[in-house]
Amino acid sequence: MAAAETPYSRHPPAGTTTTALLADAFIRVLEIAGVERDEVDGLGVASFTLAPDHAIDLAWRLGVRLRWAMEDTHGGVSALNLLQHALHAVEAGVARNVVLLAGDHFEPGDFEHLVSHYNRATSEHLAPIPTGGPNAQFALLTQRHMARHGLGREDYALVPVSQRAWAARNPGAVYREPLSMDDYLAAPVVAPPLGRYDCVPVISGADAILVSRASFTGPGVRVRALCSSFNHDNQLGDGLTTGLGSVAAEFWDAAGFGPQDVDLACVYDDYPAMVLIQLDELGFVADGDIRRFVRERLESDRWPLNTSGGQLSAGQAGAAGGMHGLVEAVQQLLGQAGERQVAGAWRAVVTGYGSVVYLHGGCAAVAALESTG
Amino acid sequence: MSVLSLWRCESCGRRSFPRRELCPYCGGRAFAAERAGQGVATQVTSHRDVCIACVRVGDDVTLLARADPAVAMGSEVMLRGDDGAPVADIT
Repeated sequence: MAAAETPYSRHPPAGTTTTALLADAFIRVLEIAGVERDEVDGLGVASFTLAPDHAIDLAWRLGVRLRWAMEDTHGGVSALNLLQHALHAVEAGVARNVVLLAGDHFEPGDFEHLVSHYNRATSEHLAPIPTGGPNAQFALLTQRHMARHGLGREDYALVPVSQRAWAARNPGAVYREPLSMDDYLAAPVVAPPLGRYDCVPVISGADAILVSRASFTGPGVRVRALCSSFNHDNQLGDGLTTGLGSVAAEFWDAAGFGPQDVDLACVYDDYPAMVLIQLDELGFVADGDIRRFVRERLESDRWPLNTSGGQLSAGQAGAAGGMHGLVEAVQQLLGQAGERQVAGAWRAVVTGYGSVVYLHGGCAAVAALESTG
Repeated sequence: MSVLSLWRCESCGRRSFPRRELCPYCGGRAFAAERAGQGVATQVTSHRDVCIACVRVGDDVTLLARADPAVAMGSEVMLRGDDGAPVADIT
């Protein structure tokens, strides 16, 4: 595998288009991998703003002839879902070099339209409230999580505060200046208890992954396990589970290692509570004591979590948000993470979460990656 | 005042909102519309000056509603509909 990301931008230059961002990510990943355009025979894409174009239109714009193409619309899980299918295609010999792209550029009004028409339940029952996007749902969910685990805002703060410290070493992150506990607590309220730094900045950008047959010529990254969960609770639960808990045992069994063996984790961070929920479901939180985990692992140990800064600091480029952590993990395992390189990074875990169906996300996925170098 | 309808499964009797195609509990296909009536606000937030509550109705339905600003966590509320939006008024 190889990975690339375009520069993320809060205020992209006039004339920026989603297709051009995806093309930029495509070119970058081929350059990094040393693969020619004509060797690409598979293409997968996730984008909220590519419409009315589809994968075939993108293939035409990029000038690639394909044996395999697909799109995925599952928001924060789209990249891992594409990856799962791409791995099957490559293993089966259907395609040799699959490029997976994810990215978005929102014109004024595009983002508001997306969050008001995310699905039919949203259009019919949430937009007329108006909830104004997912912040309200995750504010309510975070309240439940606080009550369940006895957590305060100072506990959640340690997720964006620790990630910001990583972002300072990532030239691609949109927010790199230090973030203190006081900054977090004093930030404008978005939807109680969520403040500005609990929510991802919407930006423009694109990410790319190349999946190829095993290379014996240099270091690579292998996917040891990948498990997904869709609609695990029929929206009848409290949102404090994502579905990852129900696949965790199978996942670690397939990976052949456990949480204690992981060198870095890229956990889908649309909101701090969701990061902590996923880590707990996957067994990273000893005794389920979340407060101790954030104080000891994140604050004191500086455990490598979302080492790019995550979406909370690097930004969320629409559907690229689901690929951002995967790109970071691959770059870390290939030793390409620059100033923020985790020494000796060998094993990584990447998650995806999203597609708010009505009350909370309906999709989750987790991948175990290992360096072959 | 417009009514907010929940959907009672004609096979198992449990209610859903929003309406499903198949009952999540039993797989039943037929539903009867039923007035939502009263519920309890389990959490409350606000976003851009709109109060939003998570409302539990009986033991089978959880929904999001535009809430009267007087609604607090634990408030009993009366539900009505407004162009598809559940609305929670203080009782």
